[in-house]
Amino acid sequence: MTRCIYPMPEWLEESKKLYDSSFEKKLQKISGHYAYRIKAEPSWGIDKDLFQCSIMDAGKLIEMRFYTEEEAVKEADFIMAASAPVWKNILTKTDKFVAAFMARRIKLDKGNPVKALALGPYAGTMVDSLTQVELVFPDDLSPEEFGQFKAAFAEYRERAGV
Amino acid sequence: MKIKGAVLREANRPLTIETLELEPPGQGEVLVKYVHTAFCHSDLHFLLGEMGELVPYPFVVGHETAGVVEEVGPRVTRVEKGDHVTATWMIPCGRCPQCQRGRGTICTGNLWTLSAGQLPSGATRMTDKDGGLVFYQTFVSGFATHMVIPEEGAIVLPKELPLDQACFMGCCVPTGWGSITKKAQIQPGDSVAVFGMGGVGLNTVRAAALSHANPVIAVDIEGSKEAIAREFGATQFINSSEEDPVERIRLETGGLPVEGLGFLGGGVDVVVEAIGDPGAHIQAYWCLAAGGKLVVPGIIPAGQEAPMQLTFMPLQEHSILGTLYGSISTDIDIPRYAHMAMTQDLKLDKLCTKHFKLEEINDVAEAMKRREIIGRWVCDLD
Repeated sequence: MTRCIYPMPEWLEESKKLYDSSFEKKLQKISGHYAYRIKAEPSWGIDKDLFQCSIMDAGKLIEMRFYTEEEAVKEADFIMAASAPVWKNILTKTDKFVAAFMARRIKLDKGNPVKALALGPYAGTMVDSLTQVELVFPDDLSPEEFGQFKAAFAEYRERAGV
Repeated sequence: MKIKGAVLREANRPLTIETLELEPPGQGEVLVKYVHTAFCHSDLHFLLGEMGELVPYPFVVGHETAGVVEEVGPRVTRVEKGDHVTATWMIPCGRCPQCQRGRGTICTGNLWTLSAGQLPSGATRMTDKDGGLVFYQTFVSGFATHMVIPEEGAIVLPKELPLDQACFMGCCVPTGWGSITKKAQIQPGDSVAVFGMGGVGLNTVRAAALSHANPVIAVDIEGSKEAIAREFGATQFINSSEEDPVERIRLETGGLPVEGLGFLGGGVDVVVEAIGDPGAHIQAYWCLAAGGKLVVPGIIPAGQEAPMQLTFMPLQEHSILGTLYGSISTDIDIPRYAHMAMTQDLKLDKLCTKHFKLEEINDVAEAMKRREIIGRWVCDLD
C-alpha cells in the first residue's frame, strides 16, 4: 500500500489510479463538481486555504486535483469548508460527514445545502475511495518528516499555483 | 455473503425481492439472521413516500424484527453468537444534548446517519447485483434474511420468548407501552382513549389496562377490530365510521351537551392517537378532559396538516405530547417489556394474527392499505 501524506498531490493522484469500477457502481447516483476547502492550518504546514476538487459523472471520476480558489469558486457546484483536523476525522471515519455537516463542522461556502446533504449517504464510499492508500497526516509525522513534508508541500503549492 | 431482501427503489412502486451482497460485520457490528419481521404501518408510510423521503433510495424496508446473532465483529462485547435479539430503529449516540438528557429516542447525533440510510458509524453494508449501494431503513432493514447491525442496536431477549412475538419488541410494544407509562405517565384510575387499533394502539390499550386505567376506550374506523381491542383490555369500543367518538366519549365520561357549545365537562385524562391521521388528531384533542394529555405516537404523513382550534388549550391546561418510540430507553426498557411478556399476559400471542412469506410482502402492503390487517402480520424469514 502506497504511503501518502495528506494533503500532498500524490494522495489524489494515487487515489484516482485506484478508483475502480466498484466505486463507479456504488457512486452511480453521484454527478457534479465538488470542492472541499481545507482551511489553513499552519501547524500542519498548510499556510493558506487549499481546494481539493473532484468532478463526478454518474459515479465516474472525471477529475480529481487541487484547484486555485478562483477555479473552485467559478467551477464547483459545491464548496464544503472545514479545518484540516475535521477533514482528518472524516477521512479516518472518527467523524461522519452528515453529522459534521449538520453540526456545521463542515460549512457550505457554495451550493444548495439540501443537494449537498444528498451526498451524505455516499460519503462513506467516497472516503473509502480516498483512503485506499496508507494516508498519514501532518500531525502524525515525526519532526524530521514534518519538516520534509512542509518544504515539499510549500514547493508544490508554489509550483502549481494552488 | 448473499442475502435476500425486500428493496424499495422508489416510492409508490412495488417492493422487489432481490439478492444482495452483504459485507461482514465491522468493528462493533453483528450479523443477525432475521427470523421474523412484522409489517408496521410506518413501513407503509415509507412505501407510499409519506415519510418525506427520510431515507435515500434504494433501501431494504422493515424495522420490527427479531433474529439470532450469527457472527460478531471485532470489539463486540454486549452480544454473543446465538443470542436472540431484536433490532432497534433508533440508536442513541450517548453524546448529543438529547442523549445527555436521557432522551435517546430523539438522539440528534445519530439522526443524520439514520437519514442517510447508513449505520451510526456512517457505514453502508449492502450492494445490489449491479454493485450499487443499498441503504438501511432506520438501522434495521428487517425484511431481509440477514443483516449487519451495530451491537448497540441489538437488544438481547430471553430465548424462551418466541421470535414471532419477540419481533414486536422492536417497535409496537415499546411505542405503545412508552406512550402510556413514559409520556402520559398515567396513574391508576385515569381515563384513557386510544385511537387506532393497529399494533401500537393495541399495545397502548394493553398498557393502559394493566396500569389500571379506567375506562380504556378503543376507537377505530373498522368495526372488525372490536374483538381484538377488547381482548387487549378495552372496556369500550367506538366504531368511528358509525358514530362520533368525541360525542360518545364526552357523554360516557360525564359531559353535558350544551347547545352551541358542544359539551361542558367530561372527556378523558389521556388520549393516545396511534394512527397518524389529521382528522383523528382533531377528534382526539376534543376528547380531552380538563388537564388532559393528547399523546401522539402516530406519524401524520409528510405534507398533511391538522388544523386545530386551541382556545381551550391554556384555559383547560391541555397538553399535546409527541412521542417517538414511546420515549423509552431502548437498552433499559425493551428487556423489561420482554420480561413482562414472559411473566405477565401481554397477549403477544394474540397480536400475531397471520404469518406470510417475504415474496408476499406487496400483498400485505395492499391489505394494510385496505385496512384489512387485524393485529400484526408477521413475515417468516426462515
